[in-house]
Amino acid sequence: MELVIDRLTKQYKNKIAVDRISLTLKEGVYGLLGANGSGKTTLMRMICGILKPTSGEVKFNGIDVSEEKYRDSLGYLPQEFGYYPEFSAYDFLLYMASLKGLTKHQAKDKAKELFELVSLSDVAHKKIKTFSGGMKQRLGIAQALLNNPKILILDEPTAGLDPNERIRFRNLISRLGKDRIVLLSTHIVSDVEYIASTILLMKNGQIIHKGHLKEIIGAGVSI
Amino acid sequence: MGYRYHLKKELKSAFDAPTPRRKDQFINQLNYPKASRLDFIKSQIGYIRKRVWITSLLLFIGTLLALYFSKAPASLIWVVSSVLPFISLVTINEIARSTTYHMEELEMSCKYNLLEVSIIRLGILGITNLAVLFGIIFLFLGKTDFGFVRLGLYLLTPYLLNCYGTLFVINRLNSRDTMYICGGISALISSLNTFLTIQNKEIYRESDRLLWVTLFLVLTVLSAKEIVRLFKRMEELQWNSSLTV
Repeated sequence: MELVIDRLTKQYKNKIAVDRISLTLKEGVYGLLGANGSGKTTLMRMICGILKPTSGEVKFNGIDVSEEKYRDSLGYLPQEFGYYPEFSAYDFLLYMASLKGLTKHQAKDKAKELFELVSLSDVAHKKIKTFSGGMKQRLGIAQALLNNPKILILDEPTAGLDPNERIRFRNLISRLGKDRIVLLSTHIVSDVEYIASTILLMKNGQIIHKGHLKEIIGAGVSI
Repeated sequence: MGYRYHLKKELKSAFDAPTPRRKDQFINQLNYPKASRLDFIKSQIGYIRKRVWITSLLLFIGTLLALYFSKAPASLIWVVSSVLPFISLVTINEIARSTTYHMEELEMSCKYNLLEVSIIRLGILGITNLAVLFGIIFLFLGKTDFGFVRLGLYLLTPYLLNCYGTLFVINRLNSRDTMYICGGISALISSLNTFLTIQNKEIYRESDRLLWVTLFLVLTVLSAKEIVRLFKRMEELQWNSSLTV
């Protein structure tokens, strides 16, 4: 299992958001740290195939990011996401499951399992518009896991979660990272301190440091 | 049979089954059969909102009843052609729904991505609209002296003008208010169509046929161009200042 990012660049007119990033990610949890505007979201969007790079490529086990087979292995939680107003949480998961190619039967089973995992079983049939920020975030995490993805990209996944939910989320990510690639971005160091095997530090569109958090702190790198 | 069952029962009671090891890993490795593309298309029919089917059905039944009771069926053409922009509005809103409700980022990352979903929605709704339009034209054919082509021109031109107008707005604006602007465009086109036909009773005369054909063709090309533009936008998230974070 190998996700190869090769000289990935994104340029908007005269602004370089991501600057020739090359990485090889294997099973494990990777924490992407960086200040706002450092290029984390743009990098993640290119890894998910929703932004086309100006140059460079992304491949998972030799499959290009633009292929359907790549997306079949992908789970993504964007920083912000919308929902259709008439949807309940259950409708939302079934809809996302249909886009991820699950059969109706599998979708129902998986939705039930994931609602339990993110503690939303009691409110599964309530409209999403009645949910708090943390509940929406947990629903977002659930949809990202629907297809049992081999690559899990989470953009600021802990935003809106309360302290208990954060701990539960960290445990979940640790478990998930054992047999898949998990890349999560945050600007809160404690989110990735104990769970990320590797920290990728981003600044001005470049990875300025890659390694364990202790090494980064030891090196005295500032973001 | 009884002996084997008894033996199994005895064995079960004599030995405890070992707890499964690496059960989750084993289950994760299994490749479950996925839904076929046809299953996916069928599932998308269910996600088209009921109001789309209801408005189409109401228009068809309304036309049927009006033609049955009307003593001057030809005068109903402008009524139906003034309602059709709203059918196009409902259809286009349905196709552009992902953008309106900011679902595009999630949908773009899925196996069947936003572009495919939109093309499928367009296909399903396009077929439905065509069926309704053909149905209405056939209803009028038996009741008026106009031929199939002329009826098609009179009914479809305001519909196409609305397609072009609403798609033009959707392709250039990116907010939830777009829906209201599109509603305003449909209301304007519908009122304009009503006003013009009331003011000029001779609007459907044979001598203006070339003008109608030209308008129809121009609006078809413009609408097609806007649809292509909409689909191109769906291939990639559109840039805005928030994308640099």
